[in-house]
Amino acid sequence: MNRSFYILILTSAIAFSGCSKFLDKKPQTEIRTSAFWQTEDDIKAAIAGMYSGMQDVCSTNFLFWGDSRSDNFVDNPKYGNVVYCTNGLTSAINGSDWSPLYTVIGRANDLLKHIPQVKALQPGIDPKAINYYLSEARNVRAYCYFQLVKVWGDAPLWTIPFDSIGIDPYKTRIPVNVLLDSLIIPDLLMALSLSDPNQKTVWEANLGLTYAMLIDICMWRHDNAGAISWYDKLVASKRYSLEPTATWKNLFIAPNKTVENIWSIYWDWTTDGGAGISGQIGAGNTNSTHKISDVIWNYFSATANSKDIRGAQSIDLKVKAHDKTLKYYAVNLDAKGAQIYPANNQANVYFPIYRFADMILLRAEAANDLNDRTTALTLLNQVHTRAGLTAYADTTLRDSATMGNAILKERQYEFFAEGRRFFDLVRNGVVAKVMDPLIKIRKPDAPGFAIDMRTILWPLSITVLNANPKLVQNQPYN
Amino acid sequence: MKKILCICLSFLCAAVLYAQAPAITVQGKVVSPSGEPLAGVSILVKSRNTGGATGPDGSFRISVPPNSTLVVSYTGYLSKEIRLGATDRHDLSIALTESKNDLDQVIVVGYGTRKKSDVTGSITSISEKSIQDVPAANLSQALQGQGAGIDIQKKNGNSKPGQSPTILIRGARSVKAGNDPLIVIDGIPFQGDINDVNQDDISSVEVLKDASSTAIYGSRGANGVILVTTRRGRAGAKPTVTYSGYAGFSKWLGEYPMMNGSQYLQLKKWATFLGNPGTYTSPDDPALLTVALAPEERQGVAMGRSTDWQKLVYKSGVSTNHQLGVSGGTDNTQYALGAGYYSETGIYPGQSFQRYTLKLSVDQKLGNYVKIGLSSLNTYAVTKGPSVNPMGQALRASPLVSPYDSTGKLINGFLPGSANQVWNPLADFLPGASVEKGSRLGTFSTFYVEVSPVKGLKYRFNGGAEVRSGTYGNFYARNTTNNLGVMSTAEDSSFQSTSYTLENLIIYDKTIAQKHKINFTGLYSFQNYTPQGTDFKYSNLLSDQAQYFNPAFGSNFTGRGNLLPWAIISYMGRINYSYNDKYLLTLTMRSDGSSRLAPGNKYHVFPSAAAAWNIIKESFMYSVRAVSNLKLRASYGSVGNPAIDPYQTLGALTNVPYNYGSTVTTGLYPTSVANPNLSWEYTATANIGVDFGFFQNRLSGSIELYHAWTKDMIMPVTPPATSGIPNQILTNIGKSENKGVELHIAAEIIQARNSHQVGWSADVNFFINRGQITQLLPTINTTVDGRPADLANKWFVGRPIGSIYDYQRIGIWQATPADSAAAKALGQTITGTKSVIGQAKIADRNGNKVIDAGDQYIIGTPQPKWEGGTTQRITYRNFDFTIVAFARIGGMISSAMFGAGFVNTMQANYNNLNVAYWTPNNPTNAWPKANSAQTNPTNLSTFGYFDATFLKIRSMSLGYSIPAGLAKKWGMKSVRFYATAKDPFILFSPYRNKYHGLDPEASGPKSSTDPTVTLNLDTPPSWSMLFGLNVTF
Repeated sequence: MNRSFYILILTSAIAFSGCSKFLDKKPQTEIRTSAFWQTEDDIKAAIAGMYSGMQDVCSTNFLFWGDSRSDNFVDNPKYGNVVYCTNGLTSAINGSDWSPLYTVIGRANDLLKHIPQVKALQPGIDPKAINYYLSEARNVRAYCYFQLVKVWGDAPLWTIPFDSIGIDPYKTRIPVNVLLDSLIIPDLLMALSLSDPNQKTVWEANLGLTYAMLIDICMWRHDNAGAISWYDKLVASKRYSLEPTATWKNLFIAPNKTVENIWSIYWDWTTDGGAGISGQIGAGNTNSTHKISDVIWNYFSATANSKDIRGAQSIDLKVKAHDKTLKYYAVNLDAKGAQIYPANNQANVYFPIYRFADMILLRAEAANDLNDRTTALTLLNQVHTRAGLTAYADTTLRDSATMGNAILKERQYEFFAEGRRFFDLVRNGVVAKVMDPLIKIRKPDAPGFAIDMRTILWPLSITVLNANPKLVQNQPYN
Repeated sequence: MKKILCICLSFLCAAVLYAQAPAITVQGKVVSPSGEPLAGVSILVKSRNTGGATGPDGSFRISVPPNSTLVVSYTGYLSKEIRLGATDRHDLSIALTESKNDLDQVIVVGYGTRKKSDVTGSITSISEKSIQDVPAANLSQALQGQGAGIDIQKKNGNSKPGQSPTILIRGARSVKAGNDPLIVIDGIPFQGDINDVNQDDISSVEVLKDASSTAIYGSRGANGVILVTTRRGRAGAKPTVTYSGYAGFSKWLGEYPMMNGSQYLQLKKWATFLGNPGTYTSPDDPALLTVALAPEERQGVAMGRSTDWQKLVYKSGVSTNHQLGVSGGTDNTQYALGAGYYSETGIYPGQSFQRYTLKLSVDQKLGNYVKIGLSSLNTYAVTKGPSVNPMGQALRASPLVSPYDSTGKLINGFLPGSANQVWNPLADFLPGASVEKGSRLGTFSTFYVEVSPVKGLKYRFNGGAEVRSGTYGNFYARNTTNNLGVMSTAEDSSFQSTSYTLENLIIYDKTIAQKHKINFTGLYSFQNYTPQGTDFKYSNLLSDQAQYFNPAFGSNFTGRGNLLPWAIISYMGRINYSYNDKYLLTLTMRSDGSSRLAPGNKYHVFPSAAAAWNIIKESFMYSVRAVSNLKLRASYGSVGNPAIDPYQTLGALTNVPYNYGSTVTTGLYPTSVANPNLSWEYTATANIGVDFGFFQNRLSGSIELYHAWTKDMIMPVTPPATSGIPNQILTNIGKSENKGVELHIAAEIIQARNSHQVGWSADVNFFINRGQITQLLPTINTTVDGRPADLANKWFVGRPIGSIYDYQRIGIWQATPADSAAAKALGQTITGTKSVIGQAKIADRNGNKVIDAGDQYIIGTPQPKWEGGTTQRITYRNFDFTIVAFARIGGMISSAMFGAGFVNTMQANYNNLNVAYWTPNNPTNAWPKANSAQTNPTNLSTFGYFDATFLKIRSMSLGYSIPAGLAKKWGMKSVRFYATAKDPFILFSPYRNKYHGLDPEASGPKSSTDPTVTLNLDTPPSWSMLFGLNVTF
C-alpha cells in the first residue's frame, strides 16, 4: 500500500511543476489591444470601425443639430418633445450628448497612433495606401471637431487615444479658435498633403471632403477669400459636378452613382439596425417625432411651385399629418399610390455629409458678401434651375440682401432635412430674425433667441457634465 | 451472540449491584419514525453506567432495577427517557424521533467533517428530510425558508418552469461582481446550473456563512458556500430499494386584474374625452365613439362582448416526479444508485421543464489502509419557453374584440383596436409558430482515494470532472407576438464546458495526553474551467418548417462565439485544536492564485480564526440539568469574491460589421482600457454565535450575530465621453457592510411516546440583515441626505443595494382652483393635453418652488425588516402532517405591472389594469387620469412601489404510512401515501390583498444598470396539488 501512496505523492509533485503556466490564460475569442495593429488588414478594420462610429454620430443627431431647431420642422406634440423648435433645450435633451463625436475622435486618434507602427512592422505596404489611411483619419477627426465647434463651441481636445488608465481622462474645454487653428485646419492641411487624388469612393473621407470642409470652415469664419480659393481648387480637381435634374433623388438613395456627393455615410439596417432619423421624420411603424413646418409645407405644396422637382421627392404631400419626409427613401408605392415607409428598425438612410451643390451655394454666398452678384447669380441659378425652376433674372435680385435671402432660401429647399438649415441661419447671423417670430407662434411664452443669443449653442448633456468634473456648462443652461 | 453476551453480563453486574431490590427484565424494540428497526441503539439506566444496545432487528432485552429510568439514545435521533415500574416489561416499543441538532451528528465543513459539538464556525445544516418536505423543482427552491440567513427569492418574480431563484446568504455585498454563493458538491466546486441537481439525490446540505467556515474557499467564499453531499450506501445495510413519486396539477394563482369589456369602454370614453380637451361635449358624445373605437370594438359593445384573454391563454399545468433508488453495502463495499425523472409543464402553453437524472456512487475498501470511491451525477434537462413572455399581448388585447374573425377563423394578425400594436396572443399557439427550447446534458463525477498509512495520518486525493454541453434554439414565425408580422426570426446556440479539479489533502489527527486534540488539514488543489459557446441569429426564413435547425434557409446572419477559460491554484492549511473538548480553536489560511488577475498580481491570501467554548462541558454546568448544550463561538476572517471575467484586466477591441456600400468589412475599435490592478473584492466577517439546547435537546438552536465589511468593491468608472472609450473601467474602490442577527430553534413540542399519541415538532428560523453601501467613487459629487450618491447607478451611501429612488407622490392634482394655482406655482402645465390636472402630484421636497430632479428621494429599500421560515410536523398514529412556510416582512418592490406602463398606460389604446382612475367625477388621489393624449401618465413609476411583505405557505402535506405489519405482508418495508398542496397561500401581502397583485416575491436587479428590485410582468405564478407515494422495499 505504501507504494501507491508514493505514486500519488509523485503525481501531485508533477502537477505542482506545471503551475506557473497554468494560470496564464490567453484570450482566443477576444482581440486584445496588444495583439492588434500588426497588418494592413488591421488598419482597414480600424478604419471601418471609425466609419461605423460616424453612423452613430448621424443616426438621430444629424436632424437634431442641423434641422430640429430651425424653421424646417416643428416637434410633434403627441410624440416628440416640443422644445427643439421653441428654443427650450435642456441638459437632459436628446442630442445634447457629444459622446458619439468623441467616440469617433478616439478611434481616429487610435489610427493616427498605430498606423505608423504598422508601417514600421510591415515595410511592404504601399506608402500611398498608408498616407491615404492617415488622411482619412485626419479628415474624419477634423469633421468631428468642427461639429463640436458648431454645436457646443469650446470643447476638450484629444489628440491621443485613451488606451491606458495612466492617462488623465478629465480635460477642460478649449476655445473654438484654438481648436480651429491648432487642430482642425492643420488636420485638413495634413490630409491634403497625404491624400490620394485617385481615391473617389463616396463612402470614404477623401480629398473632396478636405476641400469641402475647408470651404465650409472659411465661410463659417466669414473668410470669403479663403473659401473662394479652396472652391477654385475643388473645381480644378474636376471631381464633382451637379447631378442632373432627372437623377436628383439619387443623391439620397444612391450617392455612389452620382457625380455630386462628396461624402455620404452608408447604412445597412441588417447590420446597423435602423437609422434613427426614420423615427424622427418617417417610418412605417411609428409616428414621427418631427412634423414638417408650415414654411416648407406651404412652399412645396403651393401650385406655383409644382415645377420644383424637390417637393414631391422630399416630403410626402399625401400625408395630411405633415409628418412624413420621404427624401431618403426610394419610391415604393402601395396599390393606392401611397408611399410605403420602412419600419424604423429597418430603415436605411445614406446621410449626405457634403455635396457639391452645397459648395456652389457657399461660393455664391461668398460672392454676394463681396458684392459680386453676377457670380452669385450664376451659381445660384445652377442649383435653382436644376430643381426644374426658371432661372432668376438679374433684375429680381438686385441688392445683396435680396440675393442673400434667395441663396439662403435655395439652400433651405435644396438641403431640407440634410442637417444644414440651422447652421446656415447661424452663419448668416439671422437665427433670431428668422426663428423668433415663429417661436412666438409655436409657444407664446417661449423666450426666443434674441433675448439671449448664447442659446444658439447647445447645452452640454448632464451625463457628459457629471462624468467630467472639469467641464463647465454653456450659459445660460444649467 | 457477542452483544447478547454483553447484555447478559451487564445484567449480571446490575443484578449483583442491586441485589437488595430484585431486578426486572425489560424487553422490546426500538424503531425509527417510519417503523424501521434501529440497530445499535444505546439503552442505559439513568445515572448508572449500565445498560445495553439493540441488536440488528432493533430488539433488546436488559435487566434493570425496578422504578429506574431508561435513557434511549442513538446518533441522529432525540434521546428518550422511559420510566419503568416495578414489574417486567416484555413489549416495550420505543419509537425515536429524528433530531436536527444532535451534538454527535457529523456535519460537512468543507475539506472534511466535524462533530457538531466541535464546530467553531457558523454553519446551517439542512437535513435530507427538510429538503424533501417541499416537492420543489430544484434544490434552491427546496432550500427556501429552511435556514436562517439564507434568502431565496424568485428572480424578478419569474415563475416559469425550470427557473432557478436567486440565493443571497447574509445579504448582498457587491454591486458588480455578483452575490451568488459557491456551490460545492461532494467536495468539488460545481460550475453547472443548480436546476440540474436533483434534490432526491442529496443527503444533506450545509451552508457555510461566516468567514471562519468559508475562508477555506478563499477567493470564492465571500458570498457563502453551499456544500451539497449526495447519498451514498451505508456499511452493513441490506440492499434497499426505494421508490418515490408524485403527480399533480398546477393552476395559476390568480389573474392579473384587467378591465372587462364595459370597464374598458368607459376608460376609452374618458381617455378620449380628457385627451382632446374641448373636442367633445361629454364622454358619452356619440361622435367620440367612432374615433375611440375600432369598428370591431363597436360591434363588440353592441353585442356586449367581454373577452377574458387570460382565460384563453392559461391552462392547467402538470407535474410528475419519479425517483428510484437502490442502496446498500457491506463493511468493504457500499453503493447507491438513483434514477429520476421530473417533469413540469407551466400554465402557459409551451413552457415546461423536464429533467432526467442518473446517479451512482461506490465506495470500496482496499485492505486496511486504502479506500476509494466514485460518485457520478448525470443530468439531461430540457427547458421550453424560458424567455417567452406572452403577457404584453395577452393583457393588452382589447376585451371588446374576439380572437376569431366573423367566419370563426383565428385572427393571425394585429387585433382590431389596440392601435395596431397588439398581435393576437392565440396566434403563438398555432403549431410551429413559436418554438423555444434549451437542453443541457451534464455529468459531474468525483473520485477519491484515501490512504491511511499510519494511525492519525490520512492522505486523500479528490478528483472532479464536470462536462456540460447544451443547445438552445428559438424560432418565431412572422405572424407571432414576437415578430408582429415583420419577418420570422431564429436563433441557434450551443455551449460546451469542461472543468476539472484535482485536490491533494493531508489530514493528521493527534491526541496528546487525552486532552489536547489536534487536527491538521493541508490542501493543494487546482481547478481549470473551459467554457465555450457559439450563437447564431438569422431571420426571414424561407421555410418556417426548418425552425431553428437549418440556418441555410435564413438571411441576415449575425454570430458570435467565445472561449473563456480560467484556472485557479490553491494552497490551504487548517488547524483545529481542542482542549478537553471544552476550548476549541480553528485557524485557517488559504492562498489562491487566479488566471483572471494580471501577472504579478495573481496570488492573494485569506486568513481566518475561530474559537469556541463548550460551556456545557464545564463542571459547573453539571448541576444545571435543564441545559443540555451550551456553546459560545466567535470567529473573524477574510474571504474574496472572484467575479472578474477572464481577461477583464486586459484591454479589448470590439468588432462591428461595416458596409462600405458594396463590401461588408468587419470593423474594430477599442472599447475598454486595461486595468492590470483589478482585483477581487474582500469581505471580512466577524461572527459571534451561541448554540444551546434544553431538556435533552428537546429545545435546541443557535443565535448568530455578524458584521461583514466588504472592501475593494468593484465599481465601474465611466471615463468621460471625451475619452472615446465607451466601456466602463472596473476598479476596486467601493465598500459595503452587512450586519445581522440569526436565530434558529428546533423543538419537540410534543413527544409521542408511542405511535398512538400525537407528536409535534417545529423548526423555526428568524433573521435580520442590514446592508448598506459605505463608500462610492471619490469623484461622485452628488449627495442624497447629505451622503454621497451615485444617481446614475442608484447607489447610495448608507443605504442597501437596490434602494428605490424616485419622486414622492402625495396624491393627484385635482381640478380645483387651489390645486391649479399650486401646480402652476411649481412650474407645472395646467392646460392642454399635457396638463398635470389628474396626474400624480409630486412633492416639492427640496422646496425650490419647482418640480425638478432634486425632489427625488429614497422611497424604500428591497431589504425586509425581517425574514423567517418554519417547518411544523405533526404525527398521529400513521398520519403525518407537515407545513412549511416562510415570511418576508417589510421591504419594498417595484412592480412593473403598475409602474412600468405596459398595462397601466391609461391611454386606452390597450386594455388596462382595472384601477379606479381619476376623472372629474372620480376625484381620487390613488390613480391618474385616463388620457388618450399621453403614452403614459406623468411619473407613472411612482405608482409602482409596494410594501413587499408576505407570508407564503410553501407546502402543506398530509401523509399516511400503512402499518409496518401490513407493509411487510406486501413485501415492503414501508409505504407512505401523501397529498401536498404546494404554494397554496400567500398571506399578509398588501400587494396581493389590497392591490390585486399576484405574488410579491421577487429578487434581483431590474437590469445590469438599474439595481431596483423589480417584479416583472410575466407568466403568473401558480400553485399545485400533488399526490405522491413513497415505498421502501
